[in-house]
Amino acid sequence: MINIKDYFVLQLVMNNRKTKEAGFNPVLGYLMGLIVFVLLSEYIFHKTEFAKYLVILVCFSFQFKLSENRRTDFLLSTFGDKSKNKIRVLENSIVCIPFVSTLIHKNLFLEAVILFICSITIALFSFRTSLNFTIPTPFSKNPFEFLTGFRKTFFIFPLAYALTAIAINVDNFNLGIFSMLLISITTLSYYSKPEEEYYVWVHADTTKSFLKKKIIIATKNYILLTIPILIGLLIFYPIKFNLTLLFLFIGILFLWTIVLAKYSAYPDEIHLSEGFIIAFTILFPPLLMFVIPYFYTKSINNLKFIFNDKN
Amino acid sequence: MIKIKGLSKSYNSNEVLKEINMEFSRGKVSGIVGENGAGKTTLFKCIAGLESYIGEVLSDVQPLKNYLGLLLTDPFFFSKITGKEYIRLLCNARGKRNINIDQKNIFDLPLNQYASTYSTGMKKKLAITAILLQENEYIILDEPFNGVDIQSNMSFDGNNIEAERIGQNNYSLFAYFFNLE
Repeated sequence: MINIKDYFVLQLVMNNRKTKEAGFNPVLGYLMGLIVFVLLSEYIFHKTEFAKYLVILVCFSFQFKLSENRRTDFLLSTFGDKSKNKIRVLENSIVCIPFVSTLIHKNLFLEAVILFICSITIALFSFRTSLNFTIPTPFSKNPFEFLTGFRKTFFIFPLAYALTAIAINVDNFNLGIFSMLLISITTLSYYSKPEEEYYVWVHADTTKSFLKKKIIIATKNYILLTIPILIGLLIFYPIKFNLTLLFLFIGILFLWTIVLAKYSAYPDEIHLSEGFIIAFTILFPPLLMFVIPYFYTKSINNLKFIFNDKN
Repeated sequence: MIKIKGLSKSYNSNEVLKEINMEFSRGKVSGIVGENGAGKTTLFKCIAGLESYIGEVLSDVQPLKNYLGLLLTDPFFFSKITGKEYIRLLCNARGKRNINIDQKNIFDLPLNQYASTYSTGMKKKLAITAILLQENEYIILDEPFNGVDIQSNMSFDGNNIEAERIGQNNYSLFAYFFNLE
């Protein structure tokens, strides 16, 4: 029977393998990951007053994944009740370290303590992350990214729309833009994992028509989800219509970027190198003008084999 | 017609397929038999264009992949997709829209439930239904009987596949490649 130490050593080995597959030396990969995390946190805290909530939310989202029923069942059957709890507490503690450190660095001591206590508490529970009843979506005509993604993140949308309503109520335009960004970030996550090769192969398309189709569907669906926020902001802040539309446009461009980044690394997951490029574009969005054509060309070359494309 | 000429496939120094020559005619059912690890699935993937290879795969339709239905041994299903949406995904991919999926539910599957909640046999039946509704010219079925109950196996045994119920009574167009381990 493997002990707790072996389990964590195994996790480290598996993570190192993933980092190597992404083309990085593991130590360098972790170091760069840390730098990106620090830069991103600084950026978020610089840009929005809701940064602390975002930090807490992101930390919880990682921890909820670790608390998934089937995963904790496996730990329970392999290690027994006591060791399983130790492992889960340790896992959540490790995950929350960077987030708690960020909050402490920003003098948000109460939030840091709450986050830490909640992290430990969450570790002792397991959650069913999959509900078996079919959640209706407006995307069932065009499976699959928005369709499956919407069902996994359906709770985000009422939250985002409620934030818009609050923004209008308390006359805070920035909060309205934040709710739009929330939808943008959520939809970007739908394209973060590559699908099985079969689901690309099955398309009777050329590489170009396939990518075009993916981009058009993503854009349409994203706009559909953003419409309630757009209408609210355009009606109540007509003077700031240019800013509202600018954020919508930037959201669409990032969606294109992530779709193309996914297929430029396909069938692998988006590599760290692509991740860094995306991170830089977040810091300096005009870079998208170069990054989108770069990922497009890379995707075309990458998918040629699957589509039997001679051109 | 699908003609395979001198097809070889290696994984590094491990040669899995060596100089394979075969011909499959339209409307005929062909079976490929071999022991575990003989390379049957690899051969199917080469025909489909999912694996690179040395040699030639010629067909009367070009590109073959756009007219080929492929049932993999263990089809993958997304976690939050219903049976009906899965069928729609595969049909959309082949430009087949506006199909009345409920009417063509040949195995009476609970199409409004998530496919991930189906049993192994039901998943296979779902994948088969989707492939039939794509109206392919050729179909490769890799271990189609695996996990499916005997009654259903009999219903799509050989050339008596339930194509008629699905409205494809011109099923003589198909060739089925069965992988019989």
